[in-house]
Amino acid sequence: MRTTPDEATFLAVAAEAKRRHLPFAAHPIGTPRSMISAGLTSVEHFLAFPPLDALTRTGRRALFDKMVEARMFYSNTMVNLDPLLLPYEEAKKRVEDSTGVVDPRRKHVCAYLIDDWREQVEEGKSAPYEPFRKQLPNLYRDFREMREAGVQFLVEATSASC
Amino acid sequence: MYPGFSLHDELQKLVDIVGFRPMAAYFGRESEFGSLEPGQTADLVMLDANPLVDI
Repeated sequence: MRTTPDEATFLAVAAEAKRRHLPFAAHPIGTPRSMISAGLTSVEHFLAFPPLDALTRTGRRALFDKMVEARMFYSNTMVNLDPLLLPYEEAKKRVEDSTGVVDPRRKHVCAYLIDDWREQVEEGKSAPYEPFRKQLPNLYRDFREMREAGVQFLVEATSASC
Repeated sequence: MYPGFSLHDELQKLVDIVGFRPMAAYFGRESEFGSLEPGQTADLVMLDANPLVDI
């Protein structure tokens, strides 16, 4: 589940998935504990945002231990954070860099993805994700502590997580 | 994010940011495998010609 209007809908879908014995992967919604108890198979990007600063390290560990116990996987797809935080002018330069001068990988991207990328860059012109940057260090802390607790990570991406 | 490359980038981030270690380092056998160097064990063959021209 990529988007959901509210937590009640999310929990209803989770309950139905459980009833039918289906794996259920979703973007995070609600509290970490409610996602764990809902039986989510894997959570995408982060377990909680803003990061789990309100909890002590011991409190976070207890939460991550619950994830392990519930066999809940974590798919953080960190690679999608970089483009969100790239300044508009720099992103635009890369999109128009058809010969791969700025980044040689650019020339391997097909035309329809470039069109989509161009659209996304324009949508992000006002830097809506900039406040996110300040949260990154603590978000990364949460990732590391999850690994230390033994949470199983899935490498990219949402659609493959089930 | 570049399709086709992003998986490699993600793996790199898991090492650099999250602290995962390449398997060779985990087992303490970096001198045997885990890098592309002469003498290392690897499922990789490097050629200086195209094998499809004369298989």
